[in-house]
Amino acid sequence: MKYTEVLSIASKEILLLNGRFLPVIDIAKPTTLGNWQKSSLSSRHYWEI
Amino acid sequence: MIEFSTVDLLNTYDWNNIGSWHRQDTDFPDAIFKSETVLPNPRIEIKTWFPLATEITARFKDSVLHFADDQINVAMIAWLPKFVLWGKPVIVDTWIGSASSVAATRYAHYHRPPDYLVFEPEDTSSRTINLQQTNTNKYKFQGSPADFERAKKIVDSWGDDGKVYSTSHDYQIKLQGLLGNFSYRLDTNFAKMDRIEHTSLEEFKTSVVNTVYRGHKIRQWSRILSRQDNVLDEELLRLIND
Repeated sequence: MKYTEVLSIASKEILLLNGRFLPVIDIAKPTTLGNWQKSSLSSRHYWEI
Repeated sequence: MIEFSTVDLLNTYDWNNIGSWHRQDTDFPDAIFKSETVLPNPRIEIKTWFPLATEITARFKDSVLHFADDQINVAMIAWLPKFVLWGKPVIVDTWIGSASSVAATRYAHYHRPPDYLVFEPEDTSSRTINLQQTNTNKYKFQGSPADFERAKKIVDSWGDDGKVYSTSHDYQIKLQGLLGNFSYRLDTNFAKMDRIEHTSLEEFKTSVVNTVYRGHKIRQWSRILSRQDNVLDEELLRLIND
């Protein structure tokens, strides 16, 4: 198999990920709106996992 | 973490024992298909995007010289928590493009001599791999208007293609001449993928923010969360009580 074929297959596999859950973290449910607003999660620049 | 997860998912495909995907934790790119027979080893740089942020914060500074064989693709993975504010990450949409196309667009967008100069990394191939440089840099002209006119005449003297970016040694020497003779500052806010104006990536961005997710377009959720919309607390409370 050529490297271009492997890259093509892998790319298609990634495009098929839509809708999949990522088993990496589970962001906790805020108990109140106030709690969420005070949390770092409401600072939208920092949402990188 | 999404990078690790993506590599795991790629390895669920049956590659017939010709190789397997591995995460390169600190190296470029994020994922490599290690194989004795598939050469050069295909690679994928994985960028993530949380589309409620103001922009795609991922950057792409890597020199095109590192993927001259077009053996590297870039994946952009857009994700949101299942319930917008909370829950497990869900992949909302994905984009794939060649790293060389992203780099070419970046060069065309940022390299505007003499005002903006993009430089290739120094040749660090003799160093150990952790000390090798792969990133391009960008500089902004800081001299006087008179100096700018002088610099402009120098660039004009380079001919019709003088403003077209080249990784060639000769062209890089010309750029070094400008940097050495005029005042420039390093621009650290460089190569954000959100700003390079890659046509296909721009289409992807537009598509993602117009995607309906839990009752609203993602761009509407963004307004709700930044409190620019009248729906506000009711919608946020609905998510918390979901």
